[in-house]
Amino acid sequence: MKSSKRIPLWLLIAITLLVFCWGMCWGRYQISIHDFISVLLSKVMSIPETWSQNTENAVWIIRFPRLCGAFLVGAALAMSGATYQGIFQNPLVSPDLLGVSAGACVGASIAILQGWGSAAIQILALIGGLSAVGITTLIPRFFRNQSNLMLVLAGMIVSGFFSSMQGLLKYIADPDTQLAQITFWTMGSLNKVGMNDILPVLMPMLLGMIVLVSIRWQLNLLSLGEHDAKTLGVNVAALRGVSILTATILTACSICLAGTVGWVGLVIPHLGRLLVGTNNKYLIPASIFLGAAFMIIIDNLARNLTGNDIPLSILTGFIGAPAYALMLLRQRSQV
Amino acid sequence: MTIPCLSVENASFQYDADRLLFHNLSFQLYPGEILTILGPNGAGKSTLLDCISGIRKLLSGNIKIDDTDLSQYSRKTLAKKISYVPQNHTQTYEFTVREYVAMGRAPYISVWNSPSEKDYQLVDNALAQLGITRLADKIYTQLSGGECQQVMIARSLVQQAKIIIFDEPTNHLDYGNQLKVLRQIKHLAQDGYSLIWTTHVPDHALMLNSKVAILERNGIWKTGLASELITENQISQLYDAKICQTYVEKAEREACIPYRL
Amino acid sequence: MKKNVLYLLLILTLLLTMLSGCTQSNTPNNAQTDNNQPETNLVTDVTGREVQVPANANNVMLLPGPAFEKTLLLGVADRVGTTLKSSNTAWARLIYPRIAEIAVEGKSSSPNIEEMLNRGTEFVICHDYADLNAQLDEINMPYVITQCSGELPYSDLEGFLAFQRAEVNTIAQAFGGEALTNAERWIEYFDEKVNYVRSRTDLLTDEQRPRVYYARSDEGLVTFSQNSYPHYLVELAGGYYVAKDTPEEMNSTLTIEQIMFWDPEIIFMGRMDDTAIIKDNPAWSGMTALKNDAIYLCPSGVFNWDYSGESVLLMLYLAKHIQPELFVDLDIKEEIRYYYSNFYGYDLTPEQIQLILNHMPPA
Repeated sequence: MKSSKRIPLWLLIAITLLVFCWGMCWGRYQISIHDFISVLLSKVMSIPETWSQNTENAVWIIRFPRLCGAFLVGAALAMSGATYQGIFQNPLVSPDLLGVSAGACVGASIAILQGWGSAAIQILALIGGLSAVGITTLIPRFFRNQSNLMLVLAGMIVSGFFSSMQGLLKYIADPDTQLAQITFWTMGSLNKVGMNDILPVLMPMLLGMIVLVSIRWQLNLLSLGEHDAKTLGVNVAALRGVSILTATILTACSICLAGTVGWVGLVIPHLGRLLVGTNNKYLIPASIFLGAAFMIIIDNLARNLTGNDIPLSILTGFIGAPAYALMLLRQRSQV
Repeated sequence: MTIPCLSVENASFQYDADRLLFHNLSFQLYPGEILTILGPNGAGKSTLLDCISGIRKLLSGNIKIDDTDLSQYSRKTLAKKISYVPQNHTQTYEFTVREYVAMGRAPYISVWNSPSEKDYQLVDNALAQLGITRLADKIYTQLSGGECQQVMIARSLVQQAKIIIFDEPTNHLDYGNQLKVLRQIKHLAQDGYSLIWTTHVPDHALMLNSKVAILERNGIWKTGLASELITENQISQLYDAKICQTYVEKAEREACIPYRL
Repeated sequence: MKKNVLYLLLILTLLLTMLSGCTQSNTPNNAQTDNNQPETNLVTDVTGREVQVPANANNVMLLPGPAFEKTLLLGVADRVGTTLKSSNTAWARLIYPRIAEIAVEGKSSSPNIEEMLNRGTEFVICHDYADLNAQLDEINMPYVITQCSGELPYSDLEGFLAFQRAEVNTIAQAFGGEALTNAERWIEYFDEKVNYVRSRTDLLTDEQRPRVYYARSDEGLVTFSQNSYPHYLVELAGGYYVAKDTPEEMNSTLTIEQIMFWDPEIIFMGRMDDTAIIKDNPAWSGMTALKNDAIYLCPSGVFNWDYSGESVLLMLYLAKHIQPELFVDLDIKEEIRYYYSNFYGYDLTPEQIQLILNHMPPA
């Protein structure tokens, strides 16, 4: 895309910051502007406490971690989606391609069935997701066919298998308590995210983002196809391996925080391409902030539209699918 | 005695145990030379090109570039020596021509970087050299076949490799564009590049008056000058068709064309 | 030739597998042998349906969770042939050891029909699930509805109370005999206790009622919303049920800000066994209930107190904690002891009573 037509990155960053602030102000628990500003300032200077404990909790324990979580999850899923779409030269793939979501669901379900707490659910989800992708990458090695197509097929096999396992676990779950909890988790929610959930995954996620941002131009080369990329001197296996690993870690960590959330990894990169073009040099950074802003908006709606916490995937689907249709409508002449 | 920039000795390759694609294949290429490879479909021309550019490994034999074995080169250094213009132009994503050609600078850009101003300068130079500056901001996927071909060549040029390989470059082009590509190959050779390309049309080889190699379906490999190797007998037998070779005065050259149907 | 032999072997294997599926013919042990006129009980279930079930049935399938403990208090548990897995609680096993031998179904909405026939089930007590009901109609298996899954058949306190009585009555009618007398006894007790509590709380204004939040599960974020047992029990007990304005009728997952907004003064933890789950969670620390340390576990006995015959005990427990000044004379431990002795025929030791109050299984 010509640089004159590209949406500048600073604009996207500004929008993200704005919706973040909006999220901090907006909630079911009403806070006056005066109280809100006081609570914010109290972190950097000492102010006589004129607000209630509930107010402070609402801002710092409930909203702030949730917004940070939304930022990380949205950015991670969008980046992974863009990366996968580049590697597999297919704008229709999402981060679930290699089975990370299916595996994470199984891990979380096992933890829920055992009656373990949030921490265990997160850890098992992480293990499940990474194991699934691990198996997916071993299958091509086993079949001695390392092409992209083989990897995608392996992903389908592993996803299918883990989905069936998930079905079995749901079947034996107690319909009164466990089944509802499993269903809620698989639809994604940031409702229990606190700073001590975010801190453990913060380092890996930031590292992953830094890696992908650094190698973003090389991803362009991968989208030329294996043959061309090799003739240009690219170590395709290594680059693909690192990209997939990083994208998987990002996705797995975001599943840890919020459960499985659909549509973000598919739709946001597409939106990014419309706004800044296909060149990953601009697309990857744009995905970070587009994804983050999108997820923050979704989460704000999820927790504030009603007194109940609406699962994230419901909203991303309701908003994402028509948005995707609109984008395709704009491009219909080129499809 | 100058060192050949590319030297292939006793190369052989097979996909499966039943069929040896080629065997005891040897040739040399010097700066400024063109090698035209003729052969029927499925003979193994593309595979040979893959082996030369280091994408596939030979079963036996060796390939040397500037007198150093292929295996001694790192991927990136090799990409600075040989560039490859592929046959298949389909591209999923809508890069601009400038962005697309800039990817040819990959061997010179470290993993953490992206093309610099200097790199884009080379891109613009290559586009100018081929006379396609007007395409610079167009989307690659919206170009015609001929324009795509030109952009691919531009990408090869910014790679600054002295050896350029073309895999059946005339296949998808209209007649005019085919001749344009042939002319470009000729000019590139005059500029000091060494070029290897494959084609089905023997007449093209005669037009360039280059070194010729024939790879037959049974793996037999013959090399020689165009004037020696392209004979009526040889071509008729190769393609199982009645071919006539003669000097056409009006065109001022030897030509190789089929008899009346 | 080799291939043909292989195909033949394949067909043979398939045939043998099919045959092995047929077991020795097993005529179902059905008390409804069609000779002259079997005795039946006429039952009007909670939806108003009238159905004839075999009198003196000895193999009854109970699908709703709270059905089993009802048969226990009606004294007809010996005639139960199948029960729901979740009815098999630790206290149920202590009080009625035979439950370990009763067959179980995992899901209340989809029992295994063939197993049902195999065991010789005579009639079924179930929900009003349309698919299940249609299936049972098809095989002519009589069924009595005692729980509703979709729209509840009541929408206010009086309706709720009537439903409690109706459920017990319906099951008693289905079993007949001593169940009917036991039902009368229980309903008398139920009415007595409800009137006892209501007489002291009915006239309380909203300001006199503390705001009560019932944290069902999932670290306190899931609650029972309007028109649920806890809703009415809390209101009977003199509290103001904060979740009564949420749209859904049963389970509802809330955002914590919503709970903060309600700012409950008392929190009861339903199906969790440690108050630390909420007390140690900093997000809750600003709420009045936490500041006043008014967080209580809900006891758990033969079945969940928030959804069974034991709900009458929950009402007393809630009253004691919500309006302690109005119920100084209420001795919860004695009420529990009386109930278990009178309706389950089991004498609890003081230690056991304390375990029930602490939401713990028997030692």
